[in-house]
Amino acid sequence: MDQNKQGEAAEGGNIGHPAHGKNQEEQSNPMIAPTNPPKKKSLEEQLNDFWAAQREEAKMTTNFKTHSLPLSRIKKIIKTDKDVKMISAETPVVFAKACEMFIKELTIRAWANTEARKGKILSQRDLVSAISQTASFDFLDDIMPKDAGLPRTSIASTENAYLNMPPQQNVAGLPYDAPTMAFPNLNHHAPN
Amino acid sequence: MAGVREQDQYMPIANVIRIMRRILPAHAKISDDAKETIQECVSEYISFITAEANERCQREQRKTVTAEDVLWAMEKLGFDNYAHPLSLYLHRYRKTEGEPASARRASASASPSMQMHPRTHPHSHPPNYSHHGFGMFDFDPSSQGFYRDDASSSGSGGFVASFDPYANIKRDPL
Repeated sequence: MDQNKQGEAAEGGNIGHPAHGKNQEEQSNPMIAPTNPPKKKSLEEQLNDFWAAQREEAKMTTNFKTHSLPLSRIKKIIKTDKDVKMISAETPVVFAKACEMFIKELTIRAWANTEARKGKILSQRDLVSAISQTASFDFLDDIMPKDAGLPRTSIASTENAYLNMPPQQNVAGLPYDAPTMAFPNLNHHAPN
Repeated sequence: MAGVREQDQYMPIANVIRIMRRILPAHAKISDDAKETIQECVSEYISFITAEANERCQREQRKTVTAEDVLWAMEKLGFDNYAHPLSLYLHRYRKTEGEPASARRASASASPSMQMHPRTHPHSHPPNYSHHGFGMFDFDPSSQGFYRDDASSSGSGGFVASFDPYANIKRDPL
């Protein structure tokens, strides 16, 4: 179902093209659209729509001055790889767009997991599950917390924990040493 | 949260959340651990793609990682869906922003209609975006190793200079 609905969702790149603001809104409609209460789009359909929207959006972009993510931060992250000497000015621009797509794809997949377990909060385990289900996300396995699989054996208590003890969940979800440890391996990471 | 340096390893969480909310239904909530996990995933994604792109550069005995190298790496690493719209995006970027380096230098000095932002960053930030709210940019090339081989890229002038190596051999993927 291809429906455009009025919405306030608009990205910097779409400022001059409200039609794509609607198109972007369409991405979230399948999950809440009242016109389709009995059936929601499958994850595959959502992703197909998402990628079609990305291609259309890329064609229509006119504002390259505003990015969803700061280029300076992207440069710093790129430069954590000591082997990288120089990067062209276009490289962080392309990464800004790529990371936006990455965040969105990961969010779509994770939210599908949230819905599958009848949850209302997109949580870390939804992300861990989405990553384990997606081949192109294999490179993320090393930085995923190992204990994230544990809550799946006791959904009820986990739900309570999320609702009643968010600070504790924060503590449990702070593996900040792990990414740092993992970075040296990145330089020699072989593709699957 | 650790120090500023660690903050600089991740995308600002407000930007990440804003992007997530565009794709989620209005009633959706995001747990704090999910927000942090996504931040880590994004940095890992950048490093993963960059490493592959850089390997190609080195094999071909080039020093500058280009946008084409990034797109090539994405296709090789299973991100074909990304490479296609990004090629379109890059093509349009070059038509609107990516004039040849010599023309850019000339137009910059002649006050072009589309003025470059006077700030260090060659882009403007979205409304409500607060850089320093997520940790000061404690930029020190000697201690962090950033830009040690590309010091000129840290300023707006560097933005222009970094185009020079590819002024004559830029390829159009389309």
